[in-house]
Amino acid sequence: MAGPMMTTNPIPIDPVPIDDGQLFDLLDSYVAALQAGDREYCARWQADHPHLVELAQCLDLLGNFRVPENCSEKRAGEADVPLVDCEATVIKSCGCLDAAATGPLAGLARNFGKYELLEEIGRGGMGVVFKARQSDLNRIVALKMILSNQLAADAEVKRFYREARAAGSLRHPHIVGIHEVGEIDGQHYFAMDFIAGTSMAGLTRFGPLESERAAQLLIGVARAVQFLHDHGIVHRDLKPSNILLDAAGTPLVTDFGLAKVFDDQDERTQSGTMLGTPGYMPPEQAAGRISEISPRSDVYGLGAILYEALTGRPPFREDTPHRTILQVLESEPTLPVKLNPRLPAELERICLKCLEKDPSRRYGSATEVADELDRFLRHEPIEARPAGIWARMLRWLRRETGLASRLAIMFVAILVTQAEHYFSHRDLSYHWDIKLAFASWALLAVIFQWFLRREKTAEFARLGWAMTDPLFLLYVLKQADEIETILVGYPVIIAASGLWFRERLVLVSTASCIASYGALLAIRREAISLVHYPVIFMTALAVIGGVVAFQVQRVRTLSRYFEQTKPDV
Amino acid sequence: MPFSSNINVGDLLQKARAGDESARDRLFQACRNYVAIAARAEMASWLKAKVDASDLVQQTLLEAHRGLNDFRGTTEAEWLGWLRRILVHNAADFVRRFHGVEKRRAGREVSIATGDDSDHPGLQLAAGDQSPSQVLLQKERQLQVADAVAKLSEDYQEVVILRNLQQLAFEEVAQRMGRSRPAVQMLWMRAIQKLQEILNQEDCGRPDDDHEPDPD
Repeated sequence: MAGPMMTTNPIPIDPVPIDDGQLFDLLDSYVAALQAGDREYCARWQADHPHLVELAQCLDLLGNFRVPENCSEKRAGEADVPLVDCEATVIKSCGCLDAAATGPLAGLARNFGKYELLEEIGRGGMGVVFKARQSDLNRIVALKMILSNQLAADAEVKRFYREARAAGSLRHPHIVGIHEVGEIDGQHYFAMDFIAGTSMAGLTRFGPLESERAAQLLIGVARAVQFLHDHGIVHRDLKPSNILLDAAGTPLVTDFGLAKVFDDQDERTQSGTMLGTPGYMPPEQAAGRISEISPRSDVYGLGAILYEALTGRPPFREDTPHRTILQVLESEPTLPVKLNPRLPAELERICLKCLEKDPSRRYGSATEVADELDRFLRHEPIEARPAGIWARMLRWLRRETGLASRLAIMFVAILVTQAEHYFSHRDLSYHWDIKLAFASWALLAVIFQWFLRREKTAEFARLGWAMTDPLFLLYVLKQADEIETILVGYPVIIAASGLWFRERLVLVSTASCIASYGALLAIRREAISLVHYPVIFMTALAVIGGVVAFQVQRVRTLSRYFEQTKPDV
Repeated sequence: MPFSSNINVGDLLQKARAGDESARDRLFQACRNYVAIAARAEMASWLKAKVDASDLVQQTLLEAHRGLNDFRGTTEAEWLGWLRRILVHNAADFVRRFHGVEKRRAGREVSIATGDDSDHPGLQLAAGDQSPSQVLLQKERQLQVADAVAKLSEDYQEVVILRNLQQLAFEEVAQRMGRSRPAVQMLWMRAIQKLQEILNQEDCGRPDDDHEPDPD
């Protein structure tokens, strides 16, 4: 139907080809200006980038869409009669405050009991945090509203109060004090010290910290955590965003003692979902083994914070939570020194000891971590021993399984060909050919593993592997005396590609295998006796690829379901 | 199904109020995506886990349907504004229900009654300094934008709603969607490109001068 109209509305050819990164930056700056109300910038932007005007208009339209008429009018003061008592109702409950803070009512002063809400300063799985003024004492506090869906039954409410009061009685120079726990109009909340400053998450966003600075911060945090442990509280959700920094840069631990209430309750009501942030969670917690959570789980959390402070990124970070959890359970973090070459070896050792999968191999307490960091700062020898060769080997196996498995296969293959060479006395050049192929494959594997360590190039490395493995197999098959046995390599490659949990990768791998097998048929016609056998084999490869991809898709669907049932973390 | 951009809401409103059932149906059909997208923009993600956005949409359209005779506005802008207010109000109700607090029926009734715009001439000055035709153009585009957003895949919708409508920073969007920040940024850019493509197609498919909706 649009056919004839197209000619009257020619689409201009983009005069300046730009890459995705540049385009994103441009659009991002536009939308930021738009939302900040900087019309002048927007106009200039459109003038500077005439070929992107249509995209900009698209963003304009979305921006217009957002503003509900009633509230914009109110702000403009044009309608003096309240159209809906939306503010009155909105103010009562947190959920609407929640909508209001990002929505039309932002910027209005709101009363909540004796508190005057000033602005939203953060939100998490448990609730929304506001900066507020406590009118009777005329002081600024941070007010945390507990999301109602987190506390359904009376028993849970009671439990929340008990835990919050226990946590509230604690005072320490490195923890954020709780002043009050209460309820107004069905809304549970607690009031804490307001810390004017940032959090460690804000600090590490700009890259690694200086080693000494990181160690000093962690000493404070570890002492505070030990203080909590001494009072029977396990934090359970230690992460950089829960470590606030005041104006003087002193670290303060917040959000302690409550994770337990919500955690256990989650276990009962929504099995399979969890509270906490996967990237910083110890494996026992990520696996849902709640009973195994102990002070040593917090030692892991300290390690995770230290890791981020030293490298600028969490120990594990994948593009979906379930992949992150798999990493937490099965893999090892990239060695910090690979991400920050100037990192002292002692600090790396301390960090990795905290991050041990097995709690009994971590430091016994938070105090031990603090003392150890103290030793590092005083240039004394630290107590953590360098990992033995065996332990280091195991870690490497877990960390770089892709590379390790390929090297292992190669090692066995070289042994076999070596033995064959020894017994059959074949000519040397043939033997060298095979060796050279193995060597280049090994080199390629090392290079891909290097790319895999970096988040930006990881996808490239995975695709590279999916495409070059069948190629290498093709070379081996071309040289082999008898191909039938070695053909089993194709299904192995396809099955292994499923371990990445990416359907696309399985499909790429399957396609490469089939293409590689097709090429083999073209090269070695003599090896095929019956014409229909290759067809059967190719079909089998396609079926295996389909089955693996389907299985991967199933797992992902399930994990998406669990991601949705859990409140945002 | 006609594009909502071809629909003259003012016209439909008039007919619907005169008792034309099919005009009424078409009016609500045309606004469905608008309300759905607005509902999702209104709802924080934690609430979404508990409430199906479609309940909110259903409730809103139902109340608008019931209250249509009390609504006296004539333009599309007034109509959409009215829908939006009912929506905001219902969202508040939904939230309150999860807080275990009794709904205040009285409050709701007030909202419908005050949807009567003849009492509030202020409304007609809706968008301040813009010329009436400009306002009309934008409001009309609102329905079109909502339709276009509704055509996006679920991921694209989510990222556009969080970033553009709820105006969250990418860091926050990434957290909500449980993906890395670079992944979310890429997703967003693709979503905007796709959206523009859809809007463009509709512009091309759109007749130069508006056809009247089919005579009944």
